[in-house]
Amino acid sequence: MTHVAMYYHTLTNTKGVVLPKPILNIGCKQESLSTLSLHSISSVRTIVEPMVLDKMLRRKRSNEYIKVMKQLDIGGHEVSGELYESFISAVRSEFPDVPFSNQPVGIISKCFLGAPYEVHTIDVAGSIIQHYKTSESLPPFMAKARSIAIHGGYEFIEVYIDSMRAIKADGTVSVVK
Amino acid sequence: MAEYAINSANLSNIENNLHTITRNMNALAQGIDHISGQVSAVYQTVEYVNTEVNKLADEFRTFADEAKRLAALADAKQTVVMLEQELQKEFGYYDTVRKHTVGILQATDISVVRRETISYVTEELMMSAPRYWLAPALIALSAWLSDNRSLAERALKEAMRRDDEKTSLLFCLISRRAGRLNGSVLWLERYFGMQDPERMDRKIIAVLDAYVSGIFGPDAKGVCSEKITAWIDELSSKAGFIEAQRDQWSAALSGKAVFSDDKEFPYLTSNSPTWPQLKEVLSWAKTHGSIQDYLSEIFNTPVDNVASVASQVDAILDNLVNNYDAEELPIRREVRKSKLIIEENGLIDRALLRFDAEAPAYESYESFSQHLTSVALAPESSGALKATQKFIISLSKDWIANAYEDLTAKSRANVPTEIEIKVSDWVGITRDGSNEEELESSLNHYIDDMQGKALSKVCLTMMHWVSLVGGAAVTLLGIIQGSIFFMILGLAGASYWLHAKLTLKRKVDQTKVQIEELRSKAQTALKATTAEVVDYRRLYQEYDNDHSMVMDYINALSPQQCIAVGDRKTRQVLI
Repeated sequence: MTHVAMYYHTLTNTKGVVLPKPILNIGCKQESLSTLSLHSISSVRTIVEPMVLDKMLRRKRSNEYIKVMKQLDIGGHEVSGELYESFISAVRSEFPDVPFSNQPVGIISKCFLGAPYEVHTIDVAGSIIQHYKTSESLPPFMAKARSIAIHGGYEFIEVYIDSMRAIKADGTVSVVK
Repeated sequence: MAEYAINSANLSNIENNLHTITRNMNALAQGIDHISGQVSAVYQTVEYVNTEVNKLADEFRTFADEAKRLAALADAKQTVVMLEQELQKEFGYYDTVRKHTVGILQATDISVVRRETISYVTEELMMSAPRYWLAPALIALSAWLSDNRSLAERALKEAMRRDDEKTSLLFCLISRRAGRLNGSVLWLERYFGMQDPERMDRKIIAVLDAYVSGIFGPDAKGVCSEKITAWIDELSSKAGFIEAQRDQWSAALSGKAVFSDDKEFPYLTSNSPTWPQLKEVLSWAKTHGSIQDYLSEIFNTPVDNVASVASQVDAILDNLVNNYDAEELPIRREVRKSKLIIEENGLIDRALLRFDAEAPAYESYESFSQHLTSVALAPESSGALKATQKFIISLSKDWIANAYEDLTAKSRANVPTEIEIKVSDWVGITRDGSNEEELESSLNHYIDDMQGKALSKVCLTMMHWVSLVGGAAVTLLGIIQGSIFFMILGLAGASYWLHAKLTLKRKVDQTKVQIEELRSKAQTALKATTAEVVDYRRLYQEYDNDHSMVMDYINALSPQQCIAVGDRKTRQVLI
């Protein structure tokens, strides 16, 4: 618990409810990234047929990608900026031909840090990695994936705007729409 | 002051009157108690009537459902009889021609029928089946057996005009049966050349039967495997093909769903608003075993690999000539639907679910992939050999695995993390029943609050206190003024308070007893429900573990293992 207390501070919102504190929040970067990406998306946006997109996103995930995603627990509560960048870069390089807007918006997996932690998430757009306790609520777009993430049998769950993809250790993909 | 003095005789009168009033008040109190008892009895009667009415409504619903089911069952039985009569009337002679085809081949094998008889019979059939392709094909066969080349060619042309594909296939199989492998492969190539993977007739199933049985010999094996690969590649390159395969398998696997029963977890059914969701995911977890049984049953059915080529070809010929022709299919489809309703004992929803999975088998022209699915899912409806079903399922294993994994992931994503328990108006949350003590304590607090609120209502009201104070004041006024009326009135008010005070304790005790009964029942229900939560989580896990067993089974399937080697003299290394 000392270890937890050291790295996992808590915040309270205006109503006094305890919120999980981001382990790594590159908030200042986020704004500039968002501004940049908005311009870049509008200029290079490509529309992919849903069936083609589905085929792309159903491809077996690479060993490298899975290996990187499994490292989140290794870092414990302390996630370095370098490690975070490696997660984001792994996501980007796993889907080189998938338009940015169709890539996962988050990754969620079972947390092996031990009680009271249950899951950890990577909010790709928000540049945040967080470990969530059993009693803590996930952001709405991630909440739908909590049950399957803690179920076991999958390495991690990719969360998309309109679906989820559960990834097994061998890279096979199961789609939940 | 002397004129206001009250003598002892007057006081005794007052005392007597007061005693009378007290007695009357007691009688009145008893009367009120009696009425209260009657009101309670009426309330109980109303409750009883209400329960009975609800029970009656449930019974009526059950009766209505049962009546509907029986009507559907009776209707289905009648439909089957009617449609089979219609089939006999419309297509009865087709059956005669079909039976003669294999019969002639077998009779020729053992030379027990004269050629003249065969010629005579086939000519008779030709006249009785004016549109049927098999009739001229039989004439050609008969002429071939009689060495009448010109008649054989003329009849063959007519058969090919009526149905080129089926005729090519029939003579491919007959040539193979006669041991003329070169002729067989020529007919086969002609047949394949006419195929469009987007739109194939059902008889491709007969070819798959032959291929899987290994009866075309080593040369044809290359022709078949190349064609099958080319057709699948051609279809797979089109957007949506794989998705369609997955969707078909998804529907088929969903049709194997096992339905959970409310009786399995009666307390969760009654006390958990989460139960419908829990029931749904448990049903899918149980379905893993059902899918495993389905696959095991198919793959554990032995295939007669030592049958002679002749009997194998006969089986394929049986399939080719006995399979329903396109014009029969609409009626055959209706017959199957009615038979499924009978099999499901009148439960139309379940029957339709099974029929939807089988329905593609009754389509005349379908894509090659659709035929694969039909054979895999409904070999009886498509008339395919068991060995062919094994081959197709193995060939489709990636699509099956994808569909199965998606359905499982969807179900797992719906497994409720938290289970809500509702007892009376109290609501608690548990994950696995481990917080039972916390829930019990919460329920106790809720009932304590309820008790506090109920007891706060059982007290002397303002009216009682006004009666006491007012009564005392009026009595005093009566004494001062020597007014008997005021004294009686005042004492009546005070007696009203006294009676209320005396009955209050009884009501408090009654309320406490009722609340304690409620506490006991609620705690029992909570304990039973949390115990079921523990059982549910354990049972779900046990059933869910079957998923990996099913996946191992699917991944181990290999199409090559399902193909017979062919002639015992011929052995091939399959890649």
